Amino acid sequence: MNLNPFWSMSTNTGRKRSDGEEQSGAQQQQRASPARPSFGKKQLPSIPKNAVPITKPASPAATAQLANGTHASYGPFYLEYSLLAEFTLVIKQKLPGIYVQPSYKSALMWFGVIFIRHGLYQDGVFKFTVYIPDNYPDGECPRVVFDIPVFHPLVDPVSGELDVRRAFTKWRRNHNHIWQVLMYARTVFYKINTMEPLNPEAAVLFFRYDKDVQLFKSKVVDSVKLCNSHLFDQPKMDDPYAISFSSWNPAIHDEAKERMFTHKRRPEDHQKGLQVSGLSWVKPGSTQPFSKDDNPPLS
Amino acid sequence: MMASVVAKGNRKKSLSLKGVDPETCMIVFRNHWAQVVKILEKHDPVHSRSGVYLRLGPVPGDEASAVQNYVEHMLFLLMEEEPGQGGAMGAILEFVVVEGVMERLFLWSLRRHFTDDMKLEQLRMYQMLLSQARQPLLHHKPVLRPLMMLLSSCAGAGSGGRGGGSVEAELVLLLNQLCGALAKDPSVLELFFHTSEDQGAANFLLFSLLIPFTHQEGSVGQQARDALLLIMQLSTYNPRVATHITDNTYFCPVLATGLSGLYSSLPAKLQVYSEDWHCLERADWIQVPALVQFLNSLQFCCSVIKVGHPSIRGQLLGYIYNGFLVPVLAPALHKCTLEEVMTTTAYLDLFLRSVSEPALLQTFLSFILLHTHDNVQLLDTLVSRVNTPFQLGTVSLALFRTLIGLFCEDVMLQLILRYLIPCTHLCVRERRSLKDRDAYSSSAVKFLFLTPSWCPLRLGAVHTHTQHIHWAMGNNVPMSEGDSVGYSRICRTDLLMNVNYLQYLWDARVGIAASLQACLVWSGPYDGEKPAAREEEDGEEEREQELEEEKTDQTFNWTSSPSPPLTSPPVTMGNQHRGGDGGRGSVVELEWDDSYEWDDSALPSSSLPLTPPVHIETPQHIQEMRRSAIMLIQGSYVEESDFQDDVLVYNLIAQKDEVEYKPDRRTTPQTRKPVVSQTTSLVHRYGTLRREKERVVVEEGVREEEGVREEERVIVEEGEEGVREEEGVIVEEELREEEGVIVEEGVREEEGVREEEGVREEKRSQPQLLSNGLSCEDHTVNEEVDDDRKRKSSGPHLDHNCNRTVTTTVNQTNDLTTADHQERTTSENHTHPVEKQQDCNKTDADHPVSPVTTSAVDDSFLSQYRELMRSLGVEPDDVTDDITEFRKRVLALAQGGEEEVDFSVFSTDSPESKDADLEPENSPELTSNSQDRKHGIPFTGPFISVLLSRLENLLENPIPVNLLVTGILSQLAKYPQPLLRAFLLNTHTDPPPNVHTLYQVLVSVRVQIEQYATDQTEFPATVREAWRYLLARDQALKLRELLEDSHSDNRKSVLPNGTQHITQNVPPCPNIPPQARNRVFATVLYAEFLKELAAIAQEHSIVPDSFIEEINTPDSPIEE
Repeated sequence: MNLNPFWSMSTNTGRKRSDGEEQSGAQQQQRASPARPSFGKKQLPSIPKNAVPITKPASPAATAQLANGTHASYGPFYLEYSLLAEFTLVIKQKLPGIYVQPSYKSALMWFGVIFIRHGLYQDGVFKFTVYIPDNYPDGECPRVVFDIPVFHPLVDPVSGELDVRRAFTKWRRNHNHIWQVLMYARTVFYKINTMEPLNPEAAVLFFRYDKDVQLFKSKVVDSVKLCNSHLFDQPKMDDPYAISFSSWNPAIHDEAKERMFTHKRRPEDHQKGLQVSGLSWVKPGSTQPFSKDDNPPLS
Repeated sequence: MMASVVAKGNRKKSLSLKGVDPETCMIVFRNHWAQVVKILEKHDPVHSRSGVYLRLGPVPGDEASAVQNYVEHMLFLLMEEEPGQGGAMGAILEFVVVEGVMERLFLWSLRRHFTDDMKLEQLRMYQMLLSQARQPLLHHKPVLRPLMMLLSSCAGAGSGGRGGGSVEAELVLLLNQLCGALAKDPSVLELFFHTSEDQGAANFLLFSLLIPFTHQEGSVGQQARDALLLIMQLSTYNPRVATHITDNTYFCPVLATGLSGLYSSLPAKLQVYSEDWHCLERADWIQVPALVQFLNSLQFCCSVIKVGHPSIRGQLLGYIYNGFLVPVLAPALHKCTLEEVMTTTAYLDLFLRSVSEPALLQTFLSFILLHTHDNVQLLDTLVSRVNTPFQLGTVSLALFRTLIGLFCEDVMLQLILRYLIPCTHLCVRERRSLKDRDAYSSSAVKFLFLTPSWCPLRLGAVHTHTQHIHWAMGNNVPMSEGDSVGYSRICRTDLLMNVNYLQYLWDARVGIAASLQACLVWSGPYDGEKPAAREEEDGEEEREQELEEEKTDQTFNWTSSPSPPLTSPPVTMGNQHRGGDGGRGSVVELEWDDSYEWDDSALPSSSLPLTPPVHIETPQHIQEMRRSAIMLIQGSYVEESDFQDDVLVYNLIAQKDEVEYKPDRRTTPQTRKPVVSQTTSLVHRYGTLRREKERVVVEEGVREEEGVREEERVIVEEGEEGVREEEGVIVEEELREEEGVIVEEGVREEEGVREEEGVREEKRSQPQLLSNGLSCEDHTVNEEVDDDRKRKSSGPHLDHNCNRTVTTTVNQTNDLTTADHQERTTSENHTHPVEKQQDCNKTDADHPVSPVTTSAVDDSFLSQYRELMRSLGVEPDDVTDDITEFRKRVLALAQGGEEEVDFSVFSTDSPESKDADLEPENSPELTSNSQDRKHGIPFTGPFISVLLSRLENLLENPIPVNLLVTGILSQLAKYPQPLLRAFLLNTHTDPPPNVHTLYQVLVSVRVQIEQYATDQTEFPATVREAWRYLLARDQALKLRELLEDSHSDNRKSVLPNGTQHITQNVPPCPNIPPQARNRVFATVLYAEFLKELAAIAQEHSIVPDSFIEEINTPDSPIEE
């Protein structure tokens, strides 16, 4: 605990004592008396017991008001950790073909890229940005905006925004998570829904899929091509953590690839220099101490 | 004289013999030897003609020095000789071997009375040869034999004599050299053994000679220990050496008893300089030579265990356990005066911190965790001492801080986890979500919310969200210094506060990561599923059986023997149930006594057979300590220090606070839940009872049938009454809560029941405890007891009963309380429906609870009851409000429908129980076999209890105690096990009754603080000022650390005069009135602790998943 520097705990306690004596004088003598007020019989029970009726009326109003104060002050921390927890969940889900990365400047903005591996949009690589409302998790659902408007019934042809709200009409904390939004963003490219489209043209074309199949397909292919042709562009956002693509450079990428394949999922990688080893002599499944078989006998 | 030899030897070495013809050397050597022999023979009694005298006159000085000179030259030549072709002996060496030069020289020394000087001479001669010879000499018996003779003749050298010290030193040095040679060339080892055999001396003389120096101080001892370690290393490869050491030497006993000896010379009382002192730091023990010596020896034991052969390791550990820990340390931990006990505790703590070798640590830990002293588990004694208000309590806390810092699964299991594994402290919803993360920092919010209203942080909360949302990730400080230009002073502090919180987050992150990593070696994740509670039971039963033969005197073996032994039941019972309420009535009790009372019967896992005389009196040492403590405190704190009281207080406070905070809670109103669960546990007790009855029947099956029937009837009756009693208590509690008044007697009663429960919980693994095993025995054996019991209507646990056998005084008081209680129970019978009704009412989650009157409530109660009955498949007829009728019905139901009735219908099918929390966790257990019997009543263990009880006293505690308590708690909270994490950081639901969470206690402390602040109007201002000062000081110190980049122990605070140059901008230390000092600091500490907990909770929510997976699958193969 980093409180310890507040008080000298160990070695210079003698000095502390003298400090106290200087300041307290007579009081100190009282404390030295055997009656020890701090554990005296009368103090302890009296406080909480009496407290019950007395503080009751005053408290509720005060606490309510103060709640806001604390929340306002620690709010950023709560928000940040909620988002980090969300991010941890995203990683845990291991969504196929989706990669996200919170921006450097704000935790409310995540950069992402999605790789479509089959279906109409096969080979599509779409960069997008997730915008999270700043009253998360109590606000609206996060927005997903593609860097380049993909030709898709649910993607606004101008802004590139994906219609997420149709899947998450009301964002419910504890039930809805950002990984679900990402999953949704992936699903729309595999299962195409044309209801209330943001891009009517695409919807219509798709609706008449049978006839205009070639037209729709070619539009999609064009769109995919367009997106992929801009893949190596500089990221839209000027952010150190924005996702940027570059062509294969053996000098850099070979080594990285190598590391990826040989990466050992070992805790040592996470916390170097913090080697604490615990102890256990418990047989797995047992709840008896020293139940492991290889314990040396003691007598 | 000899010094000259060595000196000359060294000097001569500088004259190189390079280029000198070996032939010439040989000739010189022979000549010298011829001269020497001449002199030798002249004084040799065999060769001299005048063999008549036994003793020749002293050797004239000139002759002696002549020999000396020749020998010097010869040795020089021998050392410088190069080995011959193909490893053959050089000519000189061959000559030495053939002629037996070394032997004759040794004999010559002997002839000259073999004074210390002679010995030194010889010893140094060999030292020189060994260290400087260019060819191996030890392979040759004519060299080795005299060496061994010399060594054995020096064996007694240490025993006084003026030169004794120096001979010892040279001897050990030589031995050290020899061991080094052995380590380099193990083939010599065989020769050592053989040579010894020739002599008939103890095998492996080398080793035996070193043993006496094992515990010696200074460099000689160090050399000896180094030498021994070399041999230990040797033993790993050479089983013969290992066997020899374990079978033929006293090495291990000497080491272990040496520890005992050194321990006995440690000061029995430490002079303690200040109240703050709580553990022996290096600066402390370095000043106590005896302690330094002990630690050296302990360190040596570690090393031996580390490098030695497993058989040596095992033997040594055994001796340390049985030769030091049990006979020496255990009694020392139970000495009579507080000072002595405190000192021993501090020693134990120091030893634990000093032991680095896991195997030795294991020995120490199994001593602490499993050893029983005077029938009391040592661990329980230690735990209970945490609650003593004296420095002993502080030192005990420090000991537990050390224990917890070990990240040892066994320790955590025994201290805390085994109480959490049954999950009875959680409601169903919590149990399901045990592994879930707190994604929205709701625990953190709750913790920080407890910060007192007038704390600086809250005042200065001027930031809005947007200012913080865009933060720089790489930067620890949310805003640079420049940003704060416009802020007022308070906001400046607020900035500090945030920075400070970031540090807490960082600390939490580091701490959790460290815990996670340390716990990778653990056997299970402790996530509520693995390890399962059931297995524990099995394991314990197995173990129990193993131990049973040994303790049949105390516990009769009801599982395997068809008819329980009829001997000595009263004593047995008395012991087992002493905890029940045996000590309740006595006038003076101290905490440790109470803990002792209910703990000692508890632990199943005693590794040692309990000693037969099961006495009823508290052990001597506890009595003694009690006496001395009473004298010390003059009876001032006796009663309320009992933390059972505190527990009650937590309840009240928590419930009161919930009412208070209700507007802020989104979850269902919680005030009522405890009551609900209480009823559940009541229902659940019916189940227990039923099963218990079953068991009795089975057991009695061997006997005549009538007997069985009688038994049954009696038990049913008892059960009924027992239930009534419990209900009465519940009602009482309810009433009390409503009135906000605590009747002293009520508390007693309550405690009694609590304690009973505690005992049951504690004893869950002792099969005979099943109080019913007990009841059957009582019935058959002890008729009067039986009658008595009926009269007294004791509860299902029958603790009252056993009590009677304890002491008459206790018995009387007990009778009184029971009678009193009975009265009250009957008088309150009619209130039972109220209670019941309330419970049912509570199923409806939306109505706030209000004190209910009987009339208002009756109807709905009855209807609820009917529905419940219907759901159980029984058509309810008209139920009057006669409670006995009702009870009979329920009981009949319980008995009759045993097999068919699944109590889980309460939670699943019954339309009444919409709320998942209503018929909680207990329902599945009702159907599972004996689980509820053992774990039915939630109890989170004595250690958690004392810790929380200490925390409850935060305002009154001395600062170091508070730092230790909060430090331990935060350390615990950083453990990654979901059970532990959920228990400590859980804030969002009410635990079942009898479960007291950290959060509840924090709430209660907050009430105390607010209360105090209302009484002392200047208090908040003082706290703010002190806080500002402490924060600024903390920052300044951190900055300083940063600047100096010192890696020194940052737990030592820096002296103020050292920090002056940097702490200039720190506000001056506010002038705090001394009487308020503790409270002011405690309040600051409280708020900081809240931040720390919040930070830990937040960090737990974002631990990378890979970590957790790793823990859950520790054996997963790692891809390369």
